[in-house]
Amino acid sequence: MKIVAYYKFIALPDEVKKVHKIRSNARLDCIKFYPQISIVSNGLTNFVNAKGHLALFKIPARSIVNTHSKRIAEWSLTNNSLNFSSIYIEDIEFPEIGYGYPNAKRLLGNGKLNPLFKNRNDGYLFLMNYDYSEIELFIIPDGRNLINLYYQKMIDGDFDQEIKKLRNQARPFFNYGI
Amino acid sequence: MFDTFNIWIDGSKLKRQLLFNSLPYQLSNISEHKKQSGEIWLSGNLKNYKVSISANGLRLVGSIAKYYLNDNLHTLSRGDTERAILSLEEGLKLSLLKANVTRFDLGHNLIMNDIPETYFKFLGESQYYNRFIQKKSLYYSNSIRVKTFYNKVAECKAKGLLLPKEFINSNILRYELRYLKRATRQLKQTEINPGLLVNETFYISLVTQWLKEFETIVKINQVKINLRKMKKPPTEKDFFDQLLIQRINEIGQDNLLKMVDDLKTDKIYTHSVNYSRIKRKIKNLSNKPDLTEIPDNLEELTNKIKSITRYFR
Repeated sequence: MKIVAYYKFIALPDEVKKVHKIRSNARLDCIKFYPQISIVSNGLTNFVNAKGHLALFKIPARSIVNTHSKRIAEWSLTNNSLNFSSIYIEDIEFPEIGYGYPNAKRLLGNGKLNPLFKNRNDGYLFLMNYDYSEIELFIIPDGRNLINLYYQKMIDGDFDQEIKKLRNQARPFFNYGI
Repeated sequence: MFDTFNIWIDGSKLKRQLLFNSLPYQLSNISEHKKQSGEIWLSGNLKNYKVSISANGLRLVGSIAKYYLNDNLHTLSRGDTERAILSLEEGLKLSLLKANVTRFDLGHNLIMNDIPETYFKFLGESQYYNRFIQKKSLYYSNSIRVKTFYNKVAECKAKGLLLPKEFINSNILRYELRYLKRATRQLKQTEINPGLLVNETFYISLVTQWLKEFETIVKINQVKINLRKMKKPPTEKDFFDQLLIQRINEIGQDNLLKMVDDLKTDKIYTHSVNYSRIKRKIKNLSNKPDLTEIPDNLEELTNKIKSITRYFR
């Protein structure tokens, strides 16, 4: 099995958001996960807040990524001014499937150390719904430079069984009371 | 997307002491050679790179993808190429700022629905290139550039390279564009150095060129057998054109174009324009929209190559 971790992020219902004092409409919270490796080793602890919520904000990549306009993805997942990954959708016939990877630079744009540097060789696959209110993240260690092939395999349905298994094994990340 | 990445640093840009005293310590399998003129040169390896050192300069021949990621099944993005160059500099303990890139290849692996060889028959001639097909690869070459399509899994197996187990039974087609020589002239640059190749704007233009080189290949469409399916009411000429296309398909566009070349060698016609006209007619007829249709395989290949250029990663 190549995918070692699975995280499901959703836009929480308004009443749940109210209970947990979440105001942002761009925020997606992790409700389920299945790690074969610990959350520390895949770098996601950097996105867990003091309340224990693992949350990412879905924002237009153009507003935070500093690169040539032709190379920027539509959406990016960030938190605490740290970009987790852009979501690249190369095959527009499959807008629900995307790929990404962490920033591989040692230093961030603000000169601070990049906490995802040790995870720079990881590759990410994303499964989204039509309005991106649900995003499933699949982590492939050392998959960065093969992510394009994994992406094509996902489109071809080669990971369907594996994904089904991961979904069944997933357990709650935080009890939001949903 | 970079694969082969050959580098040359002129001796005048390097200190002799660095060339012969420091650099050899970074290499393995170092050996000394003597030219007939009495000039001494050294050769060695820096991982997969073949390195030669002489008073004239330093030459590195090899794949930067293999150097950085151990194989070229993995694809180097622009940012990764930047890091790979830094790693090469660290390996050599030498700045590559003054280096010239003498040859480079741009390639990408595509997972296809069918075996890679299935797609070759839909790719016809390409202007200014000689097309030749082998068992597991298709080449378009001229004296300065080569574009090639080949079965990557077959190549890995033939070379005894380890494939990640997820890809062992995949149909991986690699499309590569190789700038063999005079890249400066081809790309209208005064010099091509590693920094320029990873410059975002230049990188985008290279990937665009990689796509354009695919688009300039004449595509061989499938014949529509049924005139009833035509959008416009068919004419008598359409009927006979269809017969002609079917015959072209049977003989093969390639073979037919070679036959025209043979006619040219035998000087059958007085004017050379006649050969060009026949060739053009064959190509046009083979792709007449009303009488032919784009095969699924070709559409799949075109879409997959185009999708790579969506973000210029």
